[in-house]
Amino acid sequence: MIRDVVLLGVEDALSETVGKAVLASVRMSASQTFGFKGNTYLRKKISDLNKTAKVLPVFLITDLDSPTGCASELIRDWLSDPPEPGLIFRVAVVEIESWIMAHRKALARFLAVSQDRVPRNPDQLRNAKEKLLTIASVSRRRDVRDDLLPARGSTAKVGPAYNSRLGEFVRTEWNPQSAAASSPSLKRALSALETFRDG
Amino acid sequence: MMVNRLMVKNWRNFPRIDVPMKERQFLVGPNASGKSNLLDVFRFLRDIATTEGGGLQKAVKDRGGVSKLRCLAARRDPEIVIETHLSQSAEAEPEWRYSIGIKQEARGKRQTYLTHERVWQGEHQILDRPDADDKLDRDRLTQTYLEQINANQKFRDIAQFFQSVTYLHLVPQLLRFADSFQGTLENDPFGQGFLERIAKTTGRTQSSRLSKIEEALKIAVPQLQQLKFIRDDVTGRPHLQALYSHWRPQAGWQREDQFSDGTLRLIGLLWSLLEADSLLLLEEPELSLNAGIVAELAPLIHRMQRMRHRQVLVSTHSDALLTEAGIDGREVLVFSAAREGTEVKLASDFDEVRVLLANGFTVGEAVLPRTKPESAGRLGAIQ
Ligand SMILES: Nc1ncnc2c1ncn2[C@@H]1O[C@H](COP(=O)(O)OP(=O)(O)O)[C@@H](O)[C@H]1O
Ligand SMILES: [Mg+2]
Repeated sequence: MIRDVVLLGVEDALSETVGKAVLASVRMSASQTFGFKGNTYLRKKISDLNKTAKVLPVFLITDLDSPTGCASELIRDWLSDPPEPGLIFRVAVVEIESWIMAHRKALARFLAVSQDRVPRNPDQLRNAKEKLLTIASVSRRRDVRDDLLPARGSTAKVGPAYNSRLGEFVRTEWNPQSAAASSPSLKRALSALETFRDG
Repeated sequence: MMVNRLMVKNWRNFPRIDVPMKERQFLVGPNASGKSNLLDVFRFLRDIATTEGGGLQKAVKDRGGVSKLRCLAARRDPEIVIETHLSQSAEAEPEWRYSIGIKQEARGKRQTYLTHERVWQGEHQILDRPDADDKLDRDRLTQTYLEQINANQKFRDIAQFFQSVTYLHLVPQLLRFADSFQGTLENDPFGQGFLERIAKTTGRTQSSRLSKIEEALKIAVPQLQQLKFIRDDVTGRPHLQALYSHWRPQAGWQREDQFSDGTLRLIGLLWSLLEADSLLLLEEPELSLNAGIVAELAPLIHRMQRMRHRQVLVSTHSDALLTEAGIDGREVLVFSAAREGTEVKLASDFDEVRVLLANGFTVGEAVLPRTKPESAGRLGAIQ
């Protein structure tokens, strides 16, 4: 089995961008992506993905979402069969935004806020997305606020260009190795990938 | 008859293509990856073969000349080649093979001429140009034998096959306002002459097709009860009428100019599937159709094919269209950007796709992410 090229399963486009950056930082890559329909969809497909992992390594990123949940229990909860060695199932604690925020310095610069605003332990937040929005709301840059924050009275949880602006950050500024220093769940994901890669 | 293999060299954005084809073939790829360009290969062959048309010269001229057709990535080799294999079914050995090479003169009149025209019937080559006559009179190479009734007797079947290629990119606005158009575009690519085509179909054939379409519309269009073809008493123009259940019986008839885009497209699509047994080219049939209906297009095409063996090439962007579990990886051509131009491969040629398909994923799930532009979301980040 080729060990440095994987199928990347994600909930949405932002996680895809994060996943690709994470893979690149450990000299791996995605031959193909999968998902983009949220968490329930990945869950529905987990057993097929596990079968796929017999032949083709699968790197699956999902959000823990619930702050009380336990990442190691999540997989047992999702999957009744034992996970294949080729299934690299990683849970962002508590959301993909935690991983993004974990590169504090770069995010503060990108959002034009002081670094003190960005939490030191993003994995311990109850709601990472909300926190990120709170940080963005004090941005010195109007275009950042305008893209990331929902308009007053909006029924949307995030602003009109939330994913694409954060995606741009991840592509251009975000460094997974630096972020891993503040996010234990990201650090575990990186070492799981490396362990798998080196077989 | 159907195309069971297509080979091209230097056609538009394709340096090379060599792919087998099935009765039902889906074309998927990012925007501007050449799906329409591939369909145009067959429209080009049709334009050459159309007897009342101007043959090769006109087919090239209508497309802006060889310089527009030739692949820009082809720097040293200026020749365009198209070869198709025709057979009774996808698995059968080809009954016919037809191949042409085209170039433009480098000097002088810069005419478009054939570098070759070859025909095989089974294993036997029955035409090999340039022949002795061509060598004496080079002007002969400005015309194909395919376009000349006197010269194509021995392979008339091929000429007829290409002539009857149909391209459907139904634009509801054009159909709706057909009355205000002066005539229709050549070959009616966008369906303005569609109503005339229904009108020309006679008696039993017309009513049996319309009743099949009515049956499908009753499922797909809420409240539609009946579909009827009529001629206007005053103008004599052909029209379609539908009766909707929520109106009073006599007042409830609506004409096609009031149908929804989706209804019109579905009618056009169904009619085309039932109309003939020649190659049908469908351009993005999912447009303005509800996702639930789009999900049924693939099986619908398949079932219609049982009645009429009409080969269908479908370009699509639709996840819904490709969710059908019964789509074979060999029925999908994937267009992807390569270093120079676009590469076309069967979905089943990709190891990852094959593995996914074998493990319960649909073609939509396994293939469409490959056709997403690299790092989607960038568009939204443009300032
Ligand atoms: N002669 C040529 N050489 C290279 N590229 C070409 C040529 N002619 C057209 N193209 C390219 O083909 C693309 C359009 O392809 P098209 O078939 O319309 O795409 P799709 O239908 O997949 O959206 C354009 O990007 C255009 O630049
Ligand atoms: Mg197109």
